Amino acid sequence: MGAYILRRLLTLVPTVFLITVLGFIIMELPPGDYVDRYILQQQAQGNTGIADQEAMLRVRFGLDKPAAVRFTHWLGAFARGDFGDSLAQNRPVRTIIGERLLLTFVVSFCAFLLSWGIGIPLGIYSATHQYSKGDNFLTVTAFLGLGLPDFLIALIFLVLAWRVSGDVLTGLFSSEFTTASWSWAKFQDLLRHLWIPVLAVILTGTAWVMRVMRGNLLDVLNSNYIQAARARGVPERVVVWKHGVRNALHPLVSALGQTLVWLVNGFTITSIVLDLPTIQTVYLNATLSQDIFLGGTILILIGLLVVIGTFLADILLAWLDPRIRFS
Amino acid sequence: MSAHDASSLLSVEDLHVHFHTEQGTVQAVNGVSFTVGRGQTLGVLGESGCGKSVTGFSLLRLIRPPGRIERGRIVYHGLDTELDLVQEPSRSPLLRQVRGGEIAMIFQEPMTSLDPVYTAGNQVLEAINYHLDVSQAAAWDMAVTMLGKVGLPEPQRIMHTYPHQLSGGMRQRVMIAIALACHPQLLIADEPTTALDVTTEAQILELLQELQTDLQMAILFITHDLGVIAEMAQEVIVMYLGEIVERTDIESLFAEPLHPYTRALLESIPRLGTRDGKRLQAIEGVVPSPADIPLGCTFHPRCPDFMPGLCDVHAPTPQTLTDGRQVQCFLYDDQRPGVRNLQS
Repeated sequence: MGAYILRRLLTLVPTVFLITVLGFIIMELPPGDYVDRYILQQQAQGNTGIADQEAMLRVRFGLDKPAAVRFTHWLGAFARGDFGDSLAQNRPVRTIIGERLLLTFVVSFCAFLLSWGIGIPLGIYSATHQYSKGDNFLTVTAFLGLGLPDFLIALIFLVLAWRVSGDVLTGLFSSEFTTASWSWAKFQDLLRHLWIPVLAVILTGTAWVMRVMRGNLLDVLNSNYIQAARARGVPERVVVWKHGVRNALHPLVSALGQTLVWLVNGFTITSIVLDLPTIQTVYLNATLSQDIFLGGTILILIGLLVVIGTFLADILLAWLDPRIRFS
Repeated sequence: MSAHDASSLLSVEDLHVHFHTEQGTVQAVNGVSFTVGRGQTLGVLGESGCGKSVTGFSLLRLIRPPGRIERGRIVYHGLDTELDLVQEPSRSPLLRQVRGGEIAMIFQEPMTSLDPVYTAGNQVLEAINYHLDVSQAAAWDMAVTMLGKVGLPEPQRIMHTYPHQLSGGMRQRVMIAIALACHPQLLIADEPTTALDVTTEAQILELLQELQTDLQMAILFITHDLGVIAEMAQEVIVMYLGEIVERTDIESLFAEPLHPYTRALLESIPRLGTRDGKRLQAIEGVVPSPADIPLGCTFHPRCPDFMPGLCDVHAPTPQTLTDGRQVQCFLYDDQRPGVRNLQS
């Protein structure tokens, strides 16, 4: 197992490097460079003399050097957590992402835990009670959850909450708490807002997890080794949990790799609809306004999360399945 | 077939197993009755789709929906009191005790019959732990002994191996070790060598015979292979489309097969020493779908001795000959015209 993890870790190195190269290329793609944009910006503010300093500015920002050198500089800075400045907001990218990351994780982690925590047991129930009333009910609900987009569900909740309480629960905080420092009251206010996005997102998430779990478990429960386990007198409960569920978890664990990305970049439309202070809205705006350092950094972060997520999923799979561990 | 017969271990009476599918009801097993004697081997012979495996699975109550045992009795005489397995609730502890403890089963597909994510040892231990009240150390020793008994080299090491690290023959040996770990009185062997190569097949058959003598158990040996049945069984039932068409001892099966279906089966195997250039006889047609069973005798569309007006209208009933053999065919029915009289 240790050798397997080490091997997988080693293959991460070139992948991560390629991601940073790609990210750098994407940031370089728009015509002109930072200095061109800086000059334009200054000229727009009436600083006409700035054009004469162009060459000097290039040297100052290191932009006169060849791409390979600039890449190493940029990579070094990136590794130290210096992601450059946002062009649109004139603030360090790091600060902007940092502000949003925690709240993004709060929303998505709640949604993730709930949808998996509810989806897996419901899927198991559905599979072991195939075509029963309970299974049929869950199936219909799941198709509703899968069929309705989460932002629409979020809107419905928003309207319902407004009808009942008269509050418009967009965002994650009421206006008086948005800039306030953390307190018990602010936390309570967060909970009051949090349920709408979480509930909207988990309805879809739970439905998906449940359907996948149900389908897999049904397949597994029809396999020969399940009948063989029953034939040697293993109680049904143990047959289902020990032999069935463990073998049926495979596709879900593989999907876990993508889940890490989803944690920072899922439910974008819901975030926008509900005006949540999450990374997703920043990412979208950065892309729209060609804020390349901000957008590029988030893109690379997403790439890294894919790699890390897949790595973790692979280790989990190896732990689950000896055929992977020993191959 | 009386329950008082001290030598019988399991008697099946008028067993019906149906599968309720969207295309209609499939009568996979249709009124099957037979008895397995203690320590005896009963062969179940038939083509694919004739209900052999379903019969085997129903003895352990392992028929899954949409399949269902519609009626009949499966009486097990191995315990102090008679036990009708059909009447047991599907999750009853007694039924679980019988599974693996009294009646065990090995399967056609050794490659997929072991759970890939647990070691061979784990699965042998599972069988032991759910039936015998022994310490972990004792259970471990029993498992190792059993793995050695089925001819696996280095049983201690096999305990720690995963199924994918073992060959098909080795996996079948592990399956046999699991099945026999608790010394059952009856082993249901459902085509246990069909998926194996010929050399391995011979080894496994030999092993089963050794273990049978050793453990004094009965075997219900399900196969489509006449060569295998000749080697394994003392008595044979021949199944066709969910019914038993003939019950006979093994010598008579080959010397004087009664039912046209049995005769056709025997003619379809090549024989050494008959190099007269005759083509090998195949049975005409294919087994009809069990969802669409022919009227009258179910074999009549393929039967060379088909008697129009009789076989396609009336269903034959089992006839017992004077030597105890049983056959379900109008050729042997005194009450019908056109009877071939074998009894004189």
